[in-house]
Amino acid sequence: MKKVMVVMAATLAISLGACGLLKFLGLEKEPERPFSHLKHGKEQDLECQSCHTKAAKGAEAGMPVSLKKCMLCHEGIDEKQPPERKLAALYPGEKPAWSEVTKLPDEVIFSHKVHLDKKVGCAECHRGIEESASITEAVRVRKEACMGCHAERQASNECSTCHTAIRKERSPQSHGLSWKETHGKVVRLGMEDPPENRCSLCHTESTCTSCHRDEPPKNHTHFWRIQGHAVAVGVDRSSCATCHRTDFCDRCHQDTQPRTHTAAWGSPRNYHCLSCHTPLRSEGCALCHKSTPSHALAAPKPDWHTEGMNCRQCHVPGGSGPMPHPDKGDNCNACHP
Amino acid sequence: MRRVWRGAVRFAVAHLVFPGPFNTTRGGCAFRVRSGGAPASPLASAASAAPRNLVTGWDGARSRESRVPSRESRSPVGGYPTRDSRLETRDTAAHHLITLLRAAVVRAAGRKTMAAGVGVLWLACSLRAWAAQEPAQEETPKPAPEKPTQNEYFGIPVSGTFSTKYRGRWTSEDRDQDLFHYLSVDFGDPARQDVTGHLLLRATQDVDGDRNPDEFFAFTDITNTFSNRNNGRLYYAYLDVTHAGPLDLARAGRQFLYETPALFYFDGFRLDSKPCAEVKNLQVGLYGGVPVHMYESSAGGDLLAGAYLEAQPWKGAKARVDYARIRDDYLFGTQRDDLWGASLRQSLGEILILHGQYTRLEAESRDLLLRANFYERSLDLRVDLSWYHLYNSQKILSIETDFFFSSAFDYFPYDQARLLVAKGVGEYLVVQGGVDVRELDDDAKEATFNREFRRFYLTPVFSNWPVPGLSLSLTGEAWEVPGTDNGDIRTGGFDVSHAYSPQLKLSAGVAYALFKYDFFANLERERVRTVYGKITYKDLNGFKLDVAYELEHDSLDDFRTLKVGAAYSF
Repeated sequence: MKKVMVVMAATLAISLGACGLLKFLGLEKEPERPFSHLKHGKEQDLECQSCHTKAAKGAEAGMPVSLKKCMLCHEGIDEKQPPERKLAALYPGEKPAWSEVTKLPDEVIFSHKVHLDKKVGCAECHRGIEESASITEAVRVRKEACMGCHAERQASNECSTCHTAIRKERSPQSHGLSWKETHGKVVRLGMEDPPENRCSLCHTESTCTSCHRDEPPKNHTHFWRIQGHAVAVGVDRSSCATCHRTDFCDRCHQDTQPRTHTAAWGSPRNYHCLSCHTPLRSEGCALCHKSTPSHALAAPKPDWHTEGMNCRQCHVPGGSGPMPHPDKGDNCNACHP
Repeated sequence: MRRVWRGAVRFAVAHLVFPGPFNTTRGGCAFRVRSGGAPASPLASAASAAPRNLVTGWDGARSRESRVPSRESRSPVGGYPTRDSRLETRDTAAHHLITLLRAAVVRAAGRKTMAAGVGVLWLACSLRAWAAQEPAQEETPKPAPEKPTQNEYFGIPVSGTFSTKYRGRWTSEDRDQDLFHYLSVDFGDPARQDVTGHLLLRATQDVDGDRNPDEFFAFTDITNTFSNRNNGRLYYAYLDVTHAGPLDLARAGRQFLYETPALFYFDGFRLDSKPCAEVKNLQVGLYGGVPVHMYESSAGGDLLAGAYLEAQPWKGAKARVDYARIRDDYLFGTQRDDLWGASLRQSLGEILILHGQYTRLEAESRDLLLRANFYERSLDLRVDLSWYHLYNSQKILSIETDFFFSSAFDYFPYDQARLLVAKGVGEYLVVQGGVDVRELDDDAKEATFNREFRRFYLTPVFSNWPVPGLSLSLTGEAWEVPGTDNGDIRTGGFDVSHAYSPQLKLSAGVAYALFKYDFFANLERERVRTVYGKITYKDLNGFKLDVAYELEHDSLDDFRTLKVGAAYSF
């Protein structure tokens, strides 16, 4: 069984690694998007709004909807281009092939008009665009740039300023009923998570601390607190370390009587003796009673008791010898030297 | 009474599944089959939708419209024929069989149960009709106002939460009432200021108090080990200075360190240098102070100091070396531990992260952890695989590195493999399951607190199904100790939660746990059954109120718990 599981795990790991590696290698090569802002903007001195005509009017900056405007200059140039570099090939529909590079998700609120009205120049957000020779991922305006500018200009950096779905008052879809049990595995991924899934977007350190320090997991019932946790610790003590340290356990054990320590547990009936085995620790008594044993050993045998004597010949209920406690069947010599 | 309800449910099911006199098309009690084909399944409706992200969080690519299921697409799975289509089946053998089955169920129900069944059926129809209504359309969220809405004092933004909670617990013989108060405050905005402060503290009051410490008390917990009925805890309080000369971060106060090989919690300082871009983003860090052991009577003699080096040697990689010196004066005398750690993390694109960490304690290898995390957004699939090896027996150590020796004694070497798979299925379902397997290096060392085990768990969660705002979760978990029943634990549960509005949410659930253990040579079985209900109200001004009630039944007693909490975020 162990071998099978190891083989399955190794196979899975290798498969995932291969997928990741292939994807990783695939990402290295960006598709070619041969539009040069350097040539059009800087060298030909075209204004941004010559092509992006909607920027001053609405949310999107817009792209030229047809080749008409481009052909004003490109008519002669296009004839000499190979088929794959002709404008028609680069314009498969109403938009150029690279228009998806800077497309924002549907839930993002952004208006070019609002920014232009506030005298935010194109180059302030699209930094370096005038020097770019092709459309790459680098021309995408990153969230960090937006937030930095908002901070400088005293504009709001609240999530709800730009997002309709990602808002502090609305939990992500993943924060369902089982999120409390399962979030740990997601959190352990660390900062490489997709940015929109970073915990720090909505949570501060107090969320983690107050919950891990104070709110018990669902399985920490009253039975768990009184007795059940001992079973779980016996199976897997490492999971306790998520929230607890050894000083927590020791403090409670030192101050709390177990449920069994009632009635005839102690003197004079001494029922606790029934749990004694050698070594004492195997029965869990040493959890609280660190020294083994915690009291002086029982009365030694009289001198005339010889080795090999059968104690139970006399020491039985109703027999000739004393019987101060019940007989659990243990070796009497363990306590009576 | 149980028989009445069982019969009522059978009656209701019979009429919901099979055609009958109550299957009217009026009153919204019809489960219609879409003409020309099988009923539209909400699970299948989103097959061609934009990528979902149910497993980990947001799905920014989907529009609002696609998130709220349309009325048509919310037809339930497995609907039965309408009246017109029933006419077509009347003459068929299937119709006769259905009629016979229905009659048998109804006959078995009896008169009393039929009456109850009508009630249940009416309730089911009403729910169905209500569910078929158009969901209340949310207002289009408006962008937040331009100026920050945080409170500011002397130009310093201040935000936080104050909350207070009452907890009452009762059994047949005991009762306990406590109050908890929390205050978390964040001073400054890290995006705008270089100096920020953070604070979290808690105060508790034992309302009852005055109990005999020598008698068993059903609600004894850690707060009862303090002599004072009123207690306080300062969880963290620190000041951060960022971008201070060569330092990326300077922190002073009570703080946690999560990145180190062991979690460090101390009163002291932390200094992180700025990453040096010329040298593979090399970063150096130092920290030191007095460890915080909240339940230790005295921190005398305790000390913690450490350092780390971190760099990004190549694309997607992060390497780190740690050293910590810990001195701890505790139960078994003064422990001095030198803890070394080395870790390497490699990201492969955005879908795979590999991580390895090795630690040494004193002159011995301590443990090795290898982990792979795979996440493919377009598939909404996450796979976590890890393997852990403990090299040597762990005995008496400092609290920071201890494996609960004083309670559970030696911790023997073992291997543990973990596999977790989480998959979003359709638009409403996430299924998460996994396996943990632990094997000791030496089987002969298996003992009370050192066990091999197999752990299996499975949790399907339905979100916004069958009704928007409704979530259902089923969970099952089994811990099995091979070769014996001693130590087996089985748990299962069902939770339902409904967000009636962004402000109001109701939750309820049941849970069951079975513990099998051998404390005094008798294999004992304890069954714990728990039922709970909770109401949460949250308004847009930062106020939150929640009320929860829980009933737990086991062989010890029936435990009742009432919690009422209020919180204000500012």
